[in-house]
Amino acid sequence: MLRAVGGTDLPRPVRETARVPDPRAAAPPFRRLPPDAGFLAAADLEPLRIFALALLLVFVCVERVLFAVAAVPCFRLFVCPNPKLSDSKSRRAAPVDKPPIHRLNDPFSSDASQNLTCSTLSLPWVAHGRRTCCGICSDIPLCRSRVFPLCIATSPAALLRGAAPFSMDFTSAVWTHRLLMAAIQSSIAEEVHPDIALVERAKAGDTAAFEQLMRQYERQIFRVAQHITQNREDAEDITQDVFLKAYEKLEQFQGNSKFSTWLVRIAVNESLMRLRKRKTNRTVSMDEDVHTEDGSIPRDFAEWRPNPEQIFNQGELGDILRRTIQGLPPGFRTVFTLRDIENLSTEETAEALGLSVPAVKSRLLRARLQLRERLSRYFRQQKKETQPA
Amino acid sequence: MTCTDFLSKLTDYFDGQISSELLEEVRAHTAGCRHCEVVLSTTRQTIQVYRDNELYDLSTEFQERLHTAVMARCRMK
Ligand SMILES: [Zn+2]
Repeated sequence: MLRAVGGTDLPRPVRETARVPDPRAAAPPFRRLPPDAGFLAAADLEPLRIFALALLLVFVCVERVLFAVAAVPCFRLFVCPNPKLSDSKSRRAAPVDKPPIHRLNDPFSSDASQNLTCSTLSLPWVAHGRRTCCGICSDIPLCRSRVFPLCIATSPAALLRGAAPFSMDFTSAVWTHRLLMAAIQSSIAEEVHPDIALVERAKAGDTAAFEQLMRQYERQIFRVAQHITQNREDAEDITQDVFLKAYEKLEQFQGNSKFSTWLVRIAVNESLMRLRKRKTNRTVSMDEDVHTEDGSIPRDFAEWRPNPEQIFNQGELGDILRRTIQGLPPGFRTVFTLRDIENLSTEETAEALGLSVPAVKSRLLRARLQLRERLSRYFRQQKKETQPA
Repeated sequence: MTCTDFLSKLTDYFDGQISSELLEEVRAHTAGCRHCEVVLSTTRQTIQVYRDNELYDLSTEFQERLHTAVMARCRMK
């Protein structure tokens, strides 16, 4: 809608007097449009749009009447020109309840021919039968083509099953999509972890993206593996296996958890398997030795020096810390490693270990208390040695 | 609050997942109980000393081997 702007008292600038013919004005190199002025967005296209909508309405009415009277799927007249979507063979082959999921071009991105993901959210576009949606705005059916102004969401088969017929003019769909995106983007932007984009790229075959993920998490995975297995060679083998497995099973990562937690979970499983292999005569599990009450009641009440780093040199301190954590049962060691060394949350630790949150909390308390007790011996002893009474 | 109650709240205390009333109770207990005060401070140091000292790190030699092996497999796929 146009608004009159003549109601102000300000004098209008007189443009006519200052008119100098601009040589570039006669033949502009290209037409520059504001980025959001998509097709049919300009005000001078308004009548055309109304006409298109009227035409559409007639089309839809005729189609619905024909469909209702003759049960003819005249729908095909309106089929989206996208061959993937309108290919009746592939549609018939797929069961209605489990529509095939294709990755499609983002109809709104500037180079729709190459883009595999939604330009706003970097999420893959997904086709459910006739619907093409990005993962977030899955309620809005969108025809992939910019040419065809109509998108009908309900297939004849679904209509026969009693689903509501639903049609939408493409322009409205575009603007609904954009408004929705603008509204949710701010909240989504912080939640979508940068890893998700890397994972999507890796899924599409970009090995460099996977290498970057590997660089980000190889140290963490190695530390987790070495803390559980207490063996460098095993930890190296496990680290390699984790990334090979992760690449193989990348499609299974749905983004419901952090990518790092997913990797840690693979690493924990591989490490426990390795421990079992090494000790063939007995089983090793997360539950081993955790029922012992040893160390859960504090016995040592001597205060330490505030900084053990000041008493020991780096090598000595490292040895003490390694020796001390080695002495913990694997079930405690693993929880302490994930929670306190790798800084996972209680929930993430529970997820990575397949334990309940209360179980993680209880193991963490006992792991911390046992470590404290064991370290007290070293640090208190050292204190006595350095301060002979 | 008894010493056993104090111990059962220790994990939540370190995770900052404790109500302000319980926090007050924990503080009141440690102010009056020398043993629990020591347990609290030395447990805090235990966590801190493990956080501050990275015990294991991968060697550059292994890192190169890892990248070569994994990337070779990725490109095969
Ligand atoms: Zn006490």
